[in-house]
Amino acid sequence: MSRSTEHGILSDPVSLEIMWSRLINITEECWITINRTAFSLIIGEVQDFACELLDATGESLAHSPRSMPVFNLALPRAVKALLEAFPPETLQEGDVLITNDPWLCAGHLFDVALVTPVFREGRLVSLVGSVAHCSDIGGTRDSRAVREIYEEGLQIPPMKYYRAGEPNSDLIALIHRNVRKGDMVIGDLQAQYSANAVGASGLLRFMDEYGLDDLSGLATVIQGRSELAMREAIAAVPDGHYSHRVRFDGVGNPLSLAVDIEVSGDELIVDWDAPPQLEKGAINSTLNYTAAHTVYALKCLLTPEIPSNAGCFRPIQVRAPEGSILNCTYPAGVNIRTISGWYCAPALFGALAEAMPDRVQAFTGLPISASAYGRDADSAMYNDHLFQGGGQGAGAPSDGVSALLFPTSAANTPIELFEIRTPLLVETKALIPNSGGAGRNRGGLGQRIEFRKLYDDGLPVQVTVVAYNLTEAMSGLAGGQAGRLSMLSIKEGDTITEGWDLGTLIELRRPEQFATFDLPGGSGYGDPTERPVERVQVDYDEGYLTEEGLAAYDCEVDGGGKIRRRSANRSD
Amino acid sequence: MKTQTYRAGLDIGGTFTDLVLVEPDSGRLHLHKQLTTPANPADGALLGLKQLLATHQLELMQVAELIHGTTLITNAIIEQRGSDTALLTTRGFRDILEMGNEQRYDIYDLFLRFPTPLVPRRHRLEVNERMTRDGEPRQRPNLDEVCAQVEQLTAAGVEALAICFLHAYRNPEHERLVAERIRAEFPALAVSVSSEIIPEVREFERTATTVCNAYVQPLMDHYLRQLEQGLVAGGFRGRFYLMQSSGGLATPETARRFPIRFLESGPAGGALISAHLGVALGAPDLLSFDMGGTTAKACLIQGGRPDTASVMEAGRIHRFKSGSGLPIKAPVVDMIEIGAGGGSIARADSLGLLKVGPQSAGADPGPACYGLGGTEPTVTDACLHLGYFDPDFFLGGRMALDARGSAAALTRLGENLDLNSDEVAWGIYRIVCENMAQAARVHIIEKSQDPRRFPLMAFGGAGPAHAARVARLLGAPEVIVPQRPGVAATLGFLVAPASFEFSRSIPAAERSLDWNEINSLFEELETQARDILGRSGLGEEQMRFERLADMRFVGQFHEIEVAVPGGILSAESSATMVKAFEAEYARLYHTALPGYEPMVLNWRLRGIGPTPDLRSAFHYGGDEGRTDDLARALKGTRRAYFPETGHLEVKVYDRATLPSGSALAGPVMVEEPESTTIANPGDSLSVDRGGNLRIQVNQA
Repeated sequence: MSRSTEHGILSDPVSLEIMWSRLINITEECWITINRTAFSLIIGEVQDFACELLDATGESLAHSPRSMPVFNLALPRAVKALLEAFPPETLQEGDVLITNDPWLCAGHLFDVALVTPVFREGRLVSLVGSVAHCSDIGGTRDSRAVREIYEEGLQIPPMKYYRAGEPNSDLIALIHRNVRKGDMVIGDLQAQYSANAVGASGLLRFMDEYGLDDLSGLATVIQGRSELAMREAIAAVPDGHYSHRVRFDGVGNPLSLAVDIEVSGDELIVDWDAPPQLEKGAINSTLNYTAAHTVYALKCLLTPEIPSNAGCFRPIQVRAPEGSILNCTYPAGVNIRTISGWYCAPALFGALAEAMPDRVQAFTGLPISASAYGRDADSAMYNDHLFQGGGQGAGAPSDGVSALLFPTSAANTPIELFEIRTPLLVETKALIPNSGGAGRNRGGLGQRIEFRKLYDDGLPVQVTVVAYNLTEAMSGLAGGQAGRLSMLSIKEGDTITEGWDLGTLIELRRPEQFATFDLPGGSGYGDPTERPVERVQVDYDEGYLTEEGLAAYDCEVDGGGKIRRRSANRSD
Repeated sequence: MKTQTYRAGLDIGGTFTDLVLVEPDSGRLHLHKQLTTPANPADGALLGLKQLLATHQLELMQVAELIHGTTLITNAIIEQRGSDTALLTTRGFRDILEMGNEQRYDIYDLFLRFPTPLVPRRHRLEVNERMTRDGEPRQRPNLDEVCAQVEQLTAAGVEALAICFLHAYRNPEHERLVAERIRAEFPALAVSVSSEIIPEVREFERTATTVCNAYVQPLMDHYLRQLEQGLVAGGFRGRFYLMQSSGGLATPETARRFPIRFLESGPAGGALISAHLGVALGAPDLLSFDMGGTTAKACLIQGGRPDTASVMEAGRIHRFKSGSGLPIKAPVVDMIEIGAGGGSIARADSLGLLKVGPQSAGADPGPACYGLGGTEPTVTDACLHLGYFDPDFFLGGRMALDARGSAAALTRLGENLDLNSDEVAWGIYRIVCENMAQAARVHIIEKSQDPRRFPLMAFGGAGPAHAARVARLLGAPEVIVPQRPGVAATLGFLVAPASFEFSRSIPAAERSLDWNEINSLFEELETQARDILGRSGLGEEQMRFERLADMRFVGQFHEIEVAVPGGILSAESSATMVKAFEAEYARLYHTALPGYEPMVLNWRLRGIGPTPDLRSAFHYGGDEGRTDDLARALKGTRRAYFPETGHLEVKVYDRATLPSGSALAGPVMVEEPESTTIANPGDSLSVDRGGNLRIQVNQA
């Protein structure tokens, strides 16, 4: 094949397609590497991580298809900050950079970015990066009590994790000493290191094959194409302001967020209004985190099929008042910033519900994470996460899926693995009937998780719970109803303790204590009385709906188990 | 009395049924291809077999061995045509099957669809039982209660039952108790038990696999019975085997117990024939490259055999999106599948880029050149437009192609891309080759090998027309096109050994392994394997056993397969295993983890019978037409496009009459009824003594 000039390749839709998909393939190889070599449940099984290729300026080129969305969008910001701390001319081959600064990266200390510069003939041509949620970063396990970030664990400012191919053993020793289960945390960091190395060697091979000296031309073209697609999608939305407000559980009392979206031609400005950052409770979101959730939700609505890179986000501006819970200032507590940040997507969907009725999705019941920590009878430490999803919100095209993780890209924790790694016995993992919000399209069902101690050994198990939707229901769209709320309880004999605050640390000491987490259902879409009776019948036959759930659909069941519409009866 | 000496291969696909018959002494092959009869596939297969035999004045009783593979079971899963199936789970866990891993397989698509669970919720019942993580019974099942539950299910019309309890991979006792009782009381019910099907940790994957097995058990049983009855009625007295996804043969009895292990028999056959021919040609390391109408498959062969993977996905909603299907944990030949075939459709995407596949035009409407109503250009249209196919000799002339239809479709697409029809045709061809080369490269690199080292063995209807370009992109030295590349997969059935794999999870750190336990485990697994192989007619002396361990560092979740030394195992054996593990780890992941402790999760045993020897006599009928006269094989010339030369007149040869020892300079084309082989400018093509086409690929 004749070798075209670089310019020729880039203006040729055939070559461009080939090279672009190759970049995505390289990130997928990185993703598989972390998946295969991680040590914690949160990274290895739950897959709370992302892998990305960036150009030499820190703008994203491609990410792996199952990457954690927010990490994809936060990593470029982290890389730019790292490049500011370590200018390209000071970097050498074999350096690996690290930070977990929540304002520079993904919003809390657990999310560690590891970034490997890639050199070709001594020149920086790219950066391969990953962000992963480590199983522990030290600090308190009771986020509700946090006042400042100093209580949340080890802060790693921009530093070098490897220097010219040699591990920074001082830093590694420091991390190892400051976290619970240091071997697991360092093992996971090595998984990120491996992934970056796999990506770097794949990228260099690719550049060899195509005779590319750098990626700047390719970057310009693919970012330009994605940008153009995003601009076209924005231009298709009528100019104007779109706004919406959502209420959510705060710490102690409910809070609310308001969004105003200004669409003007092919650009879009998102203006958040949010309460002042909280002095206690660690639910504050950094602007990085807010912006990442904002642009993620918009990409889902506007250009879901376009490969993601920096270009997609150029036409979008995100603002939030400084000092608010969506743009908090150092040293605010940020540990459980999902409590606020995970409401960005529902607010945006609500705002655009009328402009884009076929694209938006009603509220998806948010996941609950529980991490179990303690020592077993042999004094061996355990610290692992049980993660599971609520019901997906319905949309104009379809019902919500029951038990699905959103807005994260994570997977659930397999129960058998969780039991192997912690001395807990899970008694139930089951869908909750009637928990999906009623609608012409029904919200997905939430699920119930119930567990208790396996052994009667008197040893305490600390369980840190992050839960949502305990008090504030989120109504559906286009006449759909809210899904069932979350509920948390501990039952021991006849004593039931219910509804702790969020981010609660609980302690189980006896096998007779049953902890129950009910995950929320998704909200419905459209008027439930318009749901065809046949579909209500199927839901009833399969037990997704029971008799109590029929009223919302204006239905009832006869002695033979046949569903009929009540209003139809009345008109008879 | 006529002797039973012939061997036959039978591959029933969704569209075609292929048959191959081998003569005992000469090794001569006779082939037959016909349409599949979907209503009762056994009928068509038997009819075809009888016709093929009759053509050569043979009878069914002369067939000593019939080896069978089929996509019917896979298609039943994709189309959800299995039996009414129920599931028994541990109390509290009946929804595991529906929840899956709760993960979105495309992060930007808000309206993802997932496969409908094969068991509806009303047929998923919970049993009051529990086993702990250490395999200690915590609550025993009440068998009378279970029987009452199953009674309800059978009354509701359930024909198949899956049983999957938590931690049954650690202690199968509860599953066994329940299964024994149910099998005794409900003999008509097909029962699949997770600890028998796949005794490995992770409840969703184990449940999904067990359910899938149950779901197709009655179908497999019914289908096999029809086939066996028909064979016996026709006078067949030989042995009857089925091809597993792993590339080993097994008896119909095994297929009835483990239908889930037979989903990918066709692709496995393709990999095996490549391996077999490679060994015969002195190329035991090669890339098997199979390109058909919808997909292409690449499989790395090393040392004359393909690797085995332990998991696959069936019935994907989006064929090429990982996570959109049902996970099936069963040994399967490790290959990569790409949405690139002759029918793959080309289009312009919303970014103005040319995309090819994975959507396929199928057989109906098919490519634009079929003239059956297809308006979008496909890979076949591009090949026709480039001059790589003869419109009057497609399928040996049985189907005339409409070149103007192709040109019109290509022109229309080009208008959206600002390209003319020639540029679009070359773009399609190039993208499809690049896609395949890229996927093959990833597949090879995942195995830490250099893609430039492996010749391509090319087959399938479309493989020979693309392989030389793919090889050039990979930097591969050579392309080999075997005779009759259209039925290569069926030939693979005839070179497969009988084999079966058993595994068990006993997670333990390397330094605390209980070698007595492991030695007796291998003894037990070997007894099971001997039993299964023995039933397929093998003597003890014909069996060999491979032992493998899945290893990782303590605390990790994914394993690397390591060979286990032979003989009685002891602490010394583990030093060898650890060394192999650490070396492989460093190679794959660019890092060592000093201070981290290796462990073993699963132990595997493969029992393998002898590989049938076709090598000595691997040739086809039709040699009679061959002469030494190259000129007689020349059919003419055709105008074709190559980027190196532009358009030019290219010689076209007839494969059937092309003499052995011929040497031709590329560009050149060689035609046979089911495919066309293309050698590019700078390549050279020769015919070896076995009748294989050999293309030396120019890498300049």
